[in-house]
Amino acid sequence: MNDAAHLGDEAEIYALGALDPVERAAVEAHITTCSECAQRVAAAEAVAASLASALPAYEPPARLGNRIANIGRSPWTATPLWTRGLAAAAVLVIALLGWQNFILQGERGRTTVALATIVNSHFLHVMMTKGTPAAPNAKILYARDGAWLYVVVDRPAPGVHVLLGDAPGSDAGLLRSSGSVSTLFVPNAGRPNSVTLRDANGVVERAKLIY
Amino acid sequence: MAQTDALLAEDFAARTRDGFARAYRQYGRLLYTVARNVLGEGTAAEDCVHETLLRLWQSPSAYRPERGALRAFLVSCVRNEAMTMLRRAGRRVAREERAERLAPVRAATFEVIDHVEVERLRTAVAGLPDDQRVALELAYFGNRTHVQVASDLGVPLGTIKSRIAAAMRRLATELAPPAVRPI
Repeated sequence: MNDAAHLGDEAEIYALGALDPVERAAVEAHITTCSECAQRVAAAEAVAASLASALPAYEPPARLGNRIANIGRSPWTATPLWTRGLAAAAVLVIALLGWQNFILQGERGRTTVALATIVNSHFLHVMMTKGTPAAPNAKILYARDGAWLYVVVDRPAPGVHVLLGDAPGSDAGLLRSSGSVSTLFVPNAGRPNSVTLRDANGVVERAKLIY
Repeated sequence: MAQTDALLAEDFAARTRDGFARAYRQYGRLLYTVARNVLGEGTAAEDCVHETLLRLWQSPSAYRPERGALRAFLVSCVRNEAMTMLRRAGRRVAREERAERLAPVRAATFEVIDHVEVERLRTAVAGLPDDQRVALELAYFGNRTHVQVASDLGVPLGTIKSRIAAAMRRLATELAPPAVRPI
């Protein structure tokens, strides 16, 4: 962007899909609040749509229409083909981490949201680095685009906060202990570069997130 | 037709399942064509279109009719998703294949979606200064980022950004529907 007020040439380059992901995200964030730039982007997108009409045409397979028709109906039928393996893995992870305990302790709604989000996302994972040898094993599943993250700790962890970003970090909330594990699903994580678990005594463990 | 498009845009913005299904029926071939031309093969293109629409379904405020035409918005979303997938997977079409695809506006010997629109586009692109046209064609038909275009042409990045943006603005003027004159 050429200044803080309006987009520069990025408006047109965005419409061509020629920006890198970071620049693209900046444009998308800007046009949600700036109608002038949104109109400029829309005008450029109209040109890009015209350019698309000059491409060699392909007929989409019928099954794509069926998949689109299933959007909003069921996460399973609407899931992209190549992510179904990941979806199965995600379900397995959740099951291993005490799915039944979540249900029994009234966490069904929260866990369902987490599960549906994970199933419909591309995600990465990282083990957290322990601050002390006695710290529990902890892992973070996180969306490739940084939209959400899911902290899983292999034991009850009362009074442990999840902090996003560099110190001191923003507090995403307390880990919720359920059965033999503790978890916290953060739906609007904001692409943090690190996650820290902290209790009253200080840092428990930490992880860098690489996207 | 304009009213139909406006109603479709309203239904899509409201995220009704019928709105999504009708949007796909109307624009699905174009969206798949965009993804297929970037990604080079069918399965990835299929996932690209599906994931784009799925993401829009999950984002209530992603599209508002006042933002612009639904068709252009969807093409932009699919194009950006396809370019992201292309970079992420490191897919690269063979150089000779890419070279064949670089100037389809000038010599379309294949089936296209809208011959009338292509003809207007061909005229408009032919009228661009050569430096703007080459930068635009590399970025769009060569699936290159502005950084890559600058590297390809050995031209400073700022210059390339200016050339591409100027080309787009000029095409926007050339391709705009003619104003209706009062009688």
